Amino acid sequence: MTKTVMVVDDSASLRQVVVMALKSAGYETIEAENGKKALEVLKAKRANLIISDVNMPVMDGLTFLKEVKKLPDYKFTPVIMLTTESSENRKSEGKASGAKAWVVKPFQPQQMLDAVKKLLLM
Amino acid sequence: MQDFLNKTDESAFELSGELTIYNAEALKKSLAPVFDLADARLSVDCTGIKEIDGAGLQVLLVCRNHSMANGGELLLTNVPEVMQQLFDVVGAE
Amino acid sequence: MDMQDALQTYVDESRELLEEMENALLALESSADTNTAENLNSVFRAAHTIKGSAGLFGLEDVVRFTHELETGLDDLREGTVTLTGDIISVLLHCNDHLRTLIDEVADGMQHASAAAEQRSEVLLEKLRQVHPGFQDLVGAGEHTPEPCSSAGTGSSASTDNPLDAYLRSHFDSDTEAQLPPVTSVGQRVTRDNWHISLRFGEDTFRDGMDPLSFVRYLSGLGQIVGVCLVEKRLPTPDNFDPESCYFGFELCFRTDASRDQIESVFEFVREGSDIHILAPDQPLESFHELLETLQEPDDYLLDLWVRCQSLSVEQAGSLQKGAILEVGTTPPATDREASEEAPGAMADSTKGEAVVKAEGKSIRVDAARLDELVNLIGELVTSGAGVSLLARESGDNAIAESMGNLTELIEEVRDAALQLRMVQIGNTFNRYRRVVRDLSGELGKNIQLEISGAETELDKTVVEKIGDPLMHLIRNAIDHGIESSAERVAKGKREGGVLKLNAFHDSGSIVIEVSDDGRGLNSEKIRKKSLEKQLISEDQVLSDEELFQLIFEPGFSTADAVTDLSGRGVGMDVVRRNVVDIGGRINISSVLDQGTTIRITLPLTLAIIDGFLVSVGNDFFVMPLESVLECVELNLNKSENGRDQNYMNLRGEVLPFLRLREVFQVPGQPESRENIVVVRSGAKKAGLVVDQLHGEFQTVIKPLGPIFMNLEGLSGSTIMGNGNVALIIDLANLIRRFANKEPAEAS
Repeated sequence: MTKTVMVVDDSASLRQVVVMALKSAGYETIEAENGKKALEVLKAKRANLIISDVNMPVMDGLTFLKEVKKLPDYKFTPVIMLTTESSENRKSEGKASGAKAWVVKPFQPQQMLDAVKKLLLM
Repeated sequence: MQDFLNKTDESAFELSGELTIYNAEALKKSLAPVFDLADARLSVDCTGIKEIDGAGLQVLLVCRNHSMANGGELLLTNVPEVMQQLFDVVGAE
Repeated sequence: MDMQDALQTYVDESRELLEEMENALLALESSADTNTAENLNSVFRAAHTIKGSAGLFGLEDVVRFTHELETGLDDLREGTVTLTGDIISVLLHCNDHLRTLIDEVADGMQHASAAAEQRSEVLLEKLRQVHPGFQDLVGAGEHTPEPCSSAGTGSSASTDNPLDAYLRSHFDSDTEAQLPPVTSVGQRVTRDNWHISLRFGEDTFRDGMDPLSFVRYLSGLGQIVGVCLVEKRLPTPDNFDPESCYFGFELCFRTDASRDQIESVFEFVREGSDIHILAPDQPLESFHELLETLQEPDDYLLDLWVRCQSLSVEQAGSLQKGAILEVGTTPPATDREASEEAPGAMADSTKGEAVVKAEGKSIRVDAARLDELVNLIGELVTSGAGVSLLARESGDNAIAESMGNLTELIEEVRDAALQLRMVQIGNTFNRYRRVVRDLSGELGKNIQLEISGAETELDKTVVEKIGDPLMHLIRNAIDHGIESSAERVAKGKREGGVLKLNAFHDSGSIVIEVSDDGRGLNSEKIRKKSLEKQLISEDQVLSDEELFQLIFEPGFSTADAVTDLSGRGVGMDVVRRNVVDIGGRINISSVLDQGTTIRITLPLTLAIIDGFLVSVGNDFFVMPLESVLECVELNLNKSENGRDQNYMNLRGEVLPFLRLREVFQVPGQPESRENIVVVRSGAKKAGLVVDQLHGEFQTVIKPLGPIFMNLEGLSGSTIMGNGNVALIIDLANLIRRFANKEPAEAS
């Protein structure tokens, strides 16, 4: 069964590249530019994994993470957070709010694919 | 509550649906009849299993161990490809 | 090509962001706009976003520049550095420069032009000049993210521009292509494989992860020769929480991948799970250690290891006896017995005795529970101190005496509890055997690793934190310290180099030494380099020891400086920071052409420190004893400038000082006789002015409550015997903060 990955980031180019990499590996994708939009999109569409930036306007990644974990359909859905080394302190905040998988920006498309494959069964 | 188990005979059951972490609690509950018949030789037909993940597999493994410990047996039949792949991953037969 | 579209999006997006950044910077400059935090955030986010996507396109030069910029901006955003007009003006230049870099990208250049590269350097240098604290953060090579892979500079791209080539290499190739090739199967003997022992944490499913997915991913990295489910971990139905994870595996794995690659498979579950990876060449002994570490009965595990083909029946047999014997030296009788019984070891009952015995020796306890225990005992000490005080005040001698006994007992309990967390450092040392072997092989050097003091015990938390710095030092020693065989022979040294790891206890601390017999440090060259980097001034007279210490300064080393210079360097400041973070210190001794010894001195435990107690008014403060150099009386009469000065003359040396009364806003007037405690943090010395000195004081550290969490300059609290609270000073933080402030605003 084809798995769907949601990409949440305020950078359109980052989304574009990540989506392209995911599609080339056979995943379906959906996108959103911030946490609030993502929550709306998730009402209509189903995602098996979510990739979200931490630092975004309107609704940041950690708030989004907290909200998404409240949805019964996403309680157990893996979430990959994107961070930068300079935000190590935010990373510990994120850990406290339930984020387990992190990918450090800047990353290469292959790194992101590897992370997704580690988390998605089949 | 979703039901995953269907009794077709004295010792035969059918298991169906999505056996994932989202349904793990419900799956455990609906397997109660199988847990109760721990000392019997049971067969479970898996044809109807649409999706299964580690958590789903874990429920079945706990169930099977329980049977074995009580002198019973739990035979999984018609295991679909998706499920067989998982068994291969974990090295369980 | 799709990728070109994405790149165009990136260029457009970056230009937009740069515009926002510029506006925000201009707003920051005009005093009319008071929305500083928000504006700073915009500037930060622009740099952050540009950097994040640049990595995806392999735009290394953009990444490097924005990375440093971002680090500096983070500081401003957090408020640890104050924004000045000078900084804004440099940032505006940086903004312009980024626009140039993006223009170059738009022109299809993957690497910045030489001119632009040079400009990057100049701007960062300027930023360093106007931005105090920036220097600590950037400049040293190790902060820069890993350069994007070398792909893209390939010569095949004769018709394309380099950027195209990079993009193609990352997207048109098979996504699996980067995995290492799988070794051909069959001709090798069993112990050429890795053994991996996995115990997934209870919350794995709740965290959205599936153990099976990681195992499946692992199989893409090589070949899983055999895998066994640890069925014993599965609970009975009554105790079974279907949302908890009980999966555990023992597996035999064949691969050419490195340990790092294998470890990275489990990076997302590392916390909370228990993962052990044994390299192919690790001695049988390591399985013995694994037996002691893992919870399941020995015989059961041995059976699994045989079944997953990590061990031969003979090997399992030799381990079963509890003796560490090499295969073949096992007495024949034992061997036969083992080969008959090991495969059927599931029948535990027949071997019950042996199992009980093995288990009786050690019990595995969750580290978190131990921490909890230590924490509770901390509370106990606190309450005990309170009761003790009441007992004394009550004037009832009998109670006071009983309480005295109780206090002694409590202290013993505390020591015993801390003892529980002690582990031998040997395991950590052994991990480096492979590193030394591989790295020296790669470099064509002949290097022998000698380990001593493996049985030295230290706190588990310390062990965990010292692994990376040690790795760094070892790599450095192999890479730069020890010469090539040819060079060694030419110098008249033994052809093979020796790297020594040693550990021992020394008056309440543990000392770990990494020494090599390589080329040693060249103090003259270090001096020159430090002058160049403005770490020291022309007229400063420094001993060799002091000069060596400079290699730990941020900004001292750059990649190219290392090899031709002293043979030490990349990221040494990170090593030191890691060591200092856990309350340790690091020293170097070195003799040119004879070798270098790096000595790390660590506290035995992180929960207890040897402190030095002082007081200001009614408030008590503790600082780590090892940072205290000396105490002198503050004699203001001799001072040249009178009351408001912040410097004193200490035997001809200018010593800046800080009044704790002012820093922590202690009410009341200073006593007529104040004391000054001379402390050291890293290479910096400073004086702390206090009212009274109370001497050495061993203490259990308690974390500060959430309210004080953000109080700068403090790292914890402790309860003293009289029930009063003493605050533990975070010297590194305090001195850094102090150094960043103008004397005028030091209050």
